Amino acid sequence: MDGRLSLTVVTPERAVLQAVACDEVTLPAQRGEIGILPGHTPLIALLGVGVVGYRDGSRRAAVAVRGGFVEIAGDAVRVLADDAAAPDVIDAAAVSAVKQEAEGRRDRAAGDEELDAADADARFADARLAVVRPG
Amino acid sequence: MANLIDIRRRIRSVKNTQQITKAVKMVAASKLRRSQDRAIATRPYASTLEATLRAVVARVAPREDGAPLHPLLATRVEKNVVLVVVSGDKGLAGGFNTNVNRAAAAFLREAPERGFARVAFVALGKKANDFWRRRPVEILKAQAGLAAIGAASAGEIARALAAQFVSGETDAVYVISNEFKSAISQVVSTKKLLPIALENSANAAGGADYLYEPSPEEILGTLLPRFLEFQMYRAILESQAAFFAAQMTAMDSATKNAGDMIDSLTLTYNRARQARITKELIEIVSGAAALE
Repeated sequence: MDGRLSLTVVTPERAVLQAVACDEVTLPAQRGEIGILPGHTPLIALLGVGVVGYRDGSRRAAVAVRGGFVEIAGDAVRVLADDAAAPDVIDAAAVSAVKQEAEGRRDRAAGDEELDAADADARFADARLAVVRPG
Repeated sequence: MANLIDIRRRIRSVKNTQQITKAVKMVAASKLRRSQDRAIATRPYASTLEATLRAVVARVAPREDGAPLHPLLATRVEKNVVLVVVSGDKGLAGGFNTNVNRAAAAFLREAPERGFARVAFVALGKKANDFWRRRPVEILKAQAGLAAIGAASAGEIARALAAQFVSGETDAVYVISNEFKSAISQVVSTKKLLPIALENSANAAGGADYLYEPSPEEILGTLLPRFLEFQMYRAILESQAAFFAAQMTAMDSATKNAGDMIDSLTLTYNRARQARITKELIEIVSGAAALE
């Protein structure tokens, strides 16, 4: 333990971040955002849709995640997301289109299931946009 | 002695075949690389998911009435069984598709002995589709075009299977697929997908005692279906990598065989040609000798 966190973000299809050293991680847990500092107690939490932010010194970065869970053991923070996107693979224009389409579906949704799916799509698009356009 | 033109024609045709096998081999090799990478990319996810699931299961207190912790863990007498057959979409891969289908047929034959009253099929991949559609079996779902199946659609298949299992319509789900061992070895394996079996070792919780948010029960409820979906996805990915490996090996030996055949045909051709020349010479010489 060198007093630094090591953040890993993986999805079934690929590894988005591999053991990136950082000083602080914020996670979109299902019941609100949680912040992790080195020395955190071991935790398993389910994640919602949102942005995983991490800070290395004064440098901040983020990836968008959708669902899944996080396991914190020692200084290792492992995020297993259903889907995740780092800023360098996000095409803002394409995501905007996805967002509009998902919002359209959300407004027209008939059942709860359909609504949830559309809503999650829209929020994941939002998260991706937030990641590429900070602020 | 065979006709010279015939031999030449055969050489040409074998050469054409060799060109095809060679091309297929090259394509398979490059696709193998890609699908192998995809299969390997799932490993970090797989190991963490399994470890976490074990820790959670060990942590969740057993129910007092002995009921399973989660519907997906419920073991029942296996009467209604679903068999998922994962094959390739194309041929030219040696025994790859035949082996899975044969294993599935053996499974079906043994069904009465094992007490399965009903075996329904889910055929994934074009070859399994073609094979089982022509047979008198119940097919729940048939899907070709495995290459296009991503995590999302594999999850959909798994969710459908899980729903049937939870409703009690089916008692167990088995998967027969080719496992990718290495580029030269694929093994057909039969695995039980449902009910989910986790080795519940007592020391699984060892080490860190986690905080759970929300409760361990709720986390288990979310993780188990995801684990199932992931198993399905992984079986498909592995089968794909195994397919290209099998295809590469098969086409490599086919190319070699074609090469051997061309060599032996060329030898026969040259012999026949020389024999003809010799024969013509003898005719000329003996013709001249006769005039003297």
